[in-house]
Amino acid sequence: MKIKVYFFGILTDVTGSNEQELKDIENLSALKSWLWRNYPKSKEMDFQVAVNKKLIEGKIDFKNGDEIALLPPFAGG
Amino acid sequence: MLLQNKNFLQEGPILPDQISDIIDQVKSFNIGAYALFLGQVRADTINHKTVTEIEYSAYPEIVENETCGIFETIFNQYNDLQLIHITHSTGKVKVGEISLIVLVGSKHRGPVFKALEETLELIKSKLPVWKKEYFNDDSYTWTQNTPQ
Repeated sequence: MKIKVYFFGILTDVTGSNEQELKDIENLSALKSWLWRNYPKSKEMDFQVAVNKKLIEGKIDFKNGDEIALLPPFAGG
Repeated sequence: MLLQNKNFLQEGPILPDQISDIIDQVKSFNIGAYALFLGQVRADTINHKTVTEIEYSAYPEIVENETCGIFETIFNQYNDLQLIHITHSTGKVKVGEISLIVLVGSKHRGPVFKALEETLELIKSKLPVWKKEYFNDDSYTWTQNTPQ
């Protein structure tokens, strides 16, 4: 199973990338563990999650091919 | 017919001529009052460094959905309202340049100021837009919105 993860705002600096393809990450909790393990700085960071371009709250299970976006606090205007 | 624009994001600064163009293009004889908000990049000084420009980035697909949601919310709340226009910059915008236009138009002046303010607050809280402030020594920082 593969998912594509997109990073925005400060998370692009923390991860050094705009997107990454990940294997066998089945839910949001596993994605957070992966993120925290690989980029410890991200532990201090708050973010919302979008799956396939829709904002989602709560527990999330991923499907093969899902596009996950991690969105730090917004700063527009 | 209620009026709302379609392209919410624009690469680079918003030019002063665009503001008059928007009003010129509306051509609605139902509008008797407009209220306009312009967001401008400010030369803040932080730790002895001065902001020279802001680079905005966004998640365009969600910006589009959420902006449509803002139109719906505000039009439902203010019956007299005829027009909402929102344009937000992406990419680099220098100090003194405009990065946001919000224009609302109504039959009468009553609701325009409240509708404008509420639209602006929704833009700040709902639209996935991020800003990187660049300083005069080429360093930068990611910033978050401050209340009002």
